[in-house]
Amino acid sequence: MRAFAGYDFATGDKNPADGKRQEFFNFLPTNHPHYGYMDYEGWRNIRSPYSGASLYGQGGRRGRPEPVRAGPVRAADPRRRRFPPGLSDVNLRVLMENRRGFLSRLLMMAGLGSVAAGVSAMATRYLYPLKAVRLKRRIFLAPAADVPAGKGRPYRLPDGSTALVTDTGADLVALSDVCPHLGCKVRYEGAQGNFVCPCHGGLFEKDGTAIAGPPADEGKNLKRYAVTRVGENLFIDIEETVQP
Amino acid sequence: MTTAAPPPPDLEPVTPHGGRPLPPARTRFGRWLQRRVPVDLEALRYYSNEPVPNHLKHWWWCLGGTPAMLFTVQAATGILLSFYYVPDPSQAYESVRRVSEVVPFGWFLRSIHRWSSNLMIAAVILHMMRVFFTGAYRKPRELNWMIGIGLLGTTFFFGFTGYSLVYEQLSYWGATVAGNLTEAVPLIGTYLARLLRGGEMIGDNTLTRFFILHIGILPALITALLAGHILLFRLHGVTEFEFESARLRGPEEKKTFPFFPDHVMTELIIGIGLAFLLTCLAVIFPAGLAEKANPLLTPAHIKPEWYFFWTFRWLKLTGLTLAVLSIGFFGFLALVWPFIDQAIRRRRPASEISVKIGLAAVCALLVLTVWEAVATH
Repeated sequence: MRAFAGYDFATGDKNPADGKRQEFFNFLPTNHPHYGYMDYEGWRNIRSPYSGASLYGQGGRRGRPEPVRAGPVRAADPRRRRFPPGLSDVNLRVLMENRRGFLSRLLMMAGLGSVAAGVSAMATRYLYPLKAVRLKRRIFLAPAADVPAGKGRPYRLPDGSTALVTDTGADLVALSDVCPHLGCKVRYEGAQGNFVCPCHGGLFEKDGTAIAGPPADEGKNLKRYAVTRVGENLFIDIEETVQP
Repeated sequence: MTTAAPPPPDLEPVTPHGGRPLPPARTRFGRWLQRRVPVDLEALRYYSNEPVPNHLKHWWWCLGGTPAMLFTVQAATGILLSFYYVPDPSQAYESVRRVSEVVPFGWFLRSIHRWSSNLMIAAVILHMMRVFFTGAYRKPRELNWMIGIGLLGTTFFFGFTGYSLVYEQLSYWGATVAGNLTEAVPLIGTYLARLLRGGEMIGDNTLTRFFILHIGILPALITALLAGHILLFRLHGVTEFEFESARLRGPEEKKTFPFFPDHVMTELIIGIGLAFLLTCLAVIFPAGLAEKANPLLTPAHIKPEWYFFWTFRWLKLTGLTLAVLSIGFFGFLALVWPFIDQAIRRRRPASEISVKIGLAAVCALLVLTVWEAVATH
């Protein structure tokens, strides 16, 4: 009997699409030519534990002796046993009825079980969604003259959400219009000079600080975008979530 | 005065509806289960564990289980693939690309699905040839042969709808050719083609139809046929053959071995071999992705999958209508072959003509297939 275990590891590029090469590309990846196609690919991004066991027969008696038969000669005929073994001579019945076969049976079941486990793991990995990628970028928002003084103005962002940009006089504030409590859309009430969430009466200052209602209790302010003024134009820093 | 205490309720024999009382199971859990699932294990063992003739120890006689095993592989991988596939002409190709290139192990599952389909068709053909050339379709197994032909047709239809879903050039133009072939069927052709395509020509409906056929209707159909096939096969038992060697040794030589565990073991070994082969094929030759379907551009060289080569070559050799009619007639002959064979043997009992006809058919199909494979046009 032989038991073995090992772990293959090869580093790779974390994100092949980001333009940064983080791996070593070897011209002749493996030191011998027997891996076939793998030779063209090299070993990259590999984390693979493996284990296994093999069992070799000791020779001699194979399985149970033939049952005694009514016919006198055949069972004893030695030539009959010299036939090449058919498939079923390596048979489960022998494994089940022989005490010596117990270990073989156990190993066989373990082998089949590990195949099933491997396939299940693969299927789970296949079904489980990939990690979403967060992309940060700065995009053009509007000409600075576009934002009226004192009033909020909504701008639709590429991911579908809205930024409320308000010129508070001292500062340009760009706020997400999603209430941090349960995700309703807040709106700017010019008369009060506040943002109001219609769902549970959350109240926010012009700069997004929660002052009343559930958001204030939880201490959650409106999400704030960074707005930069470059010359006559406004740019906004957004973060997008991309589900690959 | 003493009365015999009634047996504890747990030990009272269970009687299945309309059956005989079952001997109580040994363990407590066994008896609990027996009360809930009143199965006559004795009878089950009898029906599921028939003795199998000795010739089934040889690989060549075990091909029937292979397509069934591959079908389970197809069902499992197919269900997984359908999680990401989008049956919409504008998104289908992109979703297949995503499965192959982005989703972890997607390429592997898709390659297994593709290779397993090819192997399944090969296995069905080999199994059919074995049955044909050993005359196992003869009385009383004619109906099972006919179900088998149904299974062959379903498998072909599976293959065709399957590669149409990928929505690469071959998918689109294959579907176009198939639609026009269907139109060439006399009388009902036009209606049949419209039904298949969901319109006068290939459009938005077509892909949805192929998808539903491939993942809904055909699987249900093949499951029903397979159940019938296996049921009839179990009811008749494995065909007993008279081997030349056995005849020399004498009649008492008829040997059998139990279905379980011996034959199950054989099938298990075949199954593991298949899994190994499929894995190797999928890793060494993963399923690729050709150019996206372009309704405006027929590729210069277009060929169907290898199992349709013979029809393609035959189509080129004969006319459209003639090809459709002759292939239909050929299929009909294959379907009713057991009865034709019976008629021949009634007139000439010792005739080997069936085998010769079969050989001729195999040779013809092989020639057409190879011809198509090597020819560019």
